Amino acid sequence: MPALRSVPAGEPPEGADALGQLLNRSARGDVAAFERIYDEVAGAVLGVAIRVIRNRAQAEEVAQDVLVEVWRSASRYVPERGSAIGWIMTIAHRRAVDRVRQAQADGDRAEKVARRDDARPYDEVADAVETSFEREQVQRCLGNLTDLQRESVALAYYEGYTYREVAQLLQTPLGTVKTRLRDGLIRLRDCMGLGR
Amino acid sequence: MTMPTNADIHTLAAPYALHSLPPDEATTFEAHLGECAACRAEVDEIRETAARLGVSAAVQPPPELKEQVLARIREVRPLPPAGDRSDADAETGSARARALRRWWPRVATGLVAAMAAGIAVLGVRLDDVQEELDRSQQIGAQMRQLADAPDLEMVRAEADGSRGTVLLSRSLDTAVLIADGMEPAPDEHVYQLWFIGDDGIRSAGVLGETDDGQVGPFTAQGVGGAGQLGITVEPAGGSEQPTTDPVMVIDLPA
Repeated sequence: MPALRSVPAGEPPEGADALGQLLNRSARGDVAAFERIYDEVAGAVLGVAIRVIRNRAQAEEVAQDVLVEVWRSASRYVPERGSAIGWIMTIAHRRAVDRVRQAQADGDRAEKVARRDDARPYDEVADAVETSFEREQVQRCLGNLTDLQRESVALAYYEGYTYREVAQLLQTPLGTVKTRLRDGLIRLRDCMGLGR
Repeated sequence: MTMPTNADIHTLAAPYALHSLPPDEATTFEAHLGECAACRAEVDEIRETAARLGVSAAVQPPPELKEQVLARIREVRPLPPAGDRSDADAETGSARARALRRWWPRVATGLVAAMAAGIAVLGVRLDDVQEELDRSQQIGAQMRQLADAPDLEMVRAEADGSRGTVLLSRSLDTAVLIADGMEPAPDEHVYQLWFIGDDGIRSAGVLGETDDGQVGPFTAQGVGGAGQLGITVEPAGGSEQPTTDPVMVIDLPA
């Protein structure tokens, strides 16, 4: 019979990081707290929007929407489900992907061609902020993936393609792409020391 | 378009977390998420990892972006916490729904309804209890004592393809859980058992690994006034309070 391992009872986990506490204050209308959140995350929100959308002006529009959304829905952040930066970047990525999918659905071929013509490797964003530890870590961890894992993750995350599009672009079966995405992300997680 | 079969659907957690599912498949997967705690844990974890990919793409934002954002938020009222909305699930006044709302304030309305409908107490008969005990391969002294308890009761519940059997003796303050049809907990996660009562949620312990879908028999002491047992998926080592939605909730006899 399995031994009963006791887990201390008590208050809900304190998981709220500094950013999470700022979100908490921001949710109560504290503009100063929101400004600190802005200073912390605006570069990353804009960065991911630029990566996915490419067009700078559109990316700035999306970044603005994302940051206003963070202000509006700060109370909906649930610390138990992950970090505050994870929550914010999820919103940012989804909005950026929605924008390119919408453009695609609108049949905006020029947009699509521009994206492809403008194709650059993931590590050469022109106006990147100075090399940080985090950036180096991500580059190193991406380097640890197999080519197919890395390409799948980059096309899905940084380029905002659906996994079906990724499969077509890489001329790889759907099932393989799903597996590579998952394996690649697990490897990234472990490499970044995010395992829980 | 070929839609994923049921066995296949778990593999959509990664593309879903990366916003990489076409809209129709995302909708299908979201419905599945409501009943797959393991999938929710995986989605959360992948998003955490993906966030690092995003942060590493950070650029220097132009100063006017901040001015524009600050100007816009002046005209936007922050939303109240989700739990404070007068939710549609307020209409389900059962004790279970209330307990769930206390426990998981963010739990989706639809999920609560689905769980309330999907869990059926199948019957409480003492000869079933004896049969269940005979079937168990590892009967400890504790369980024999339980079998002799005058107030022994058994509850069976079903949820999402898994079945749970609980033997309960309030006089011995002990509950024994046997569950089958359980998928193994995801990597670096465990199943954890909880006592749910009006006084809150208490851990009843971390469950061992599944063996051919079976968990337990697991003896949990300290039932107290708990009205329900709940099982969640938690990070290895367990949590102080539940961090995911329950995969199973079993009503205990009073």
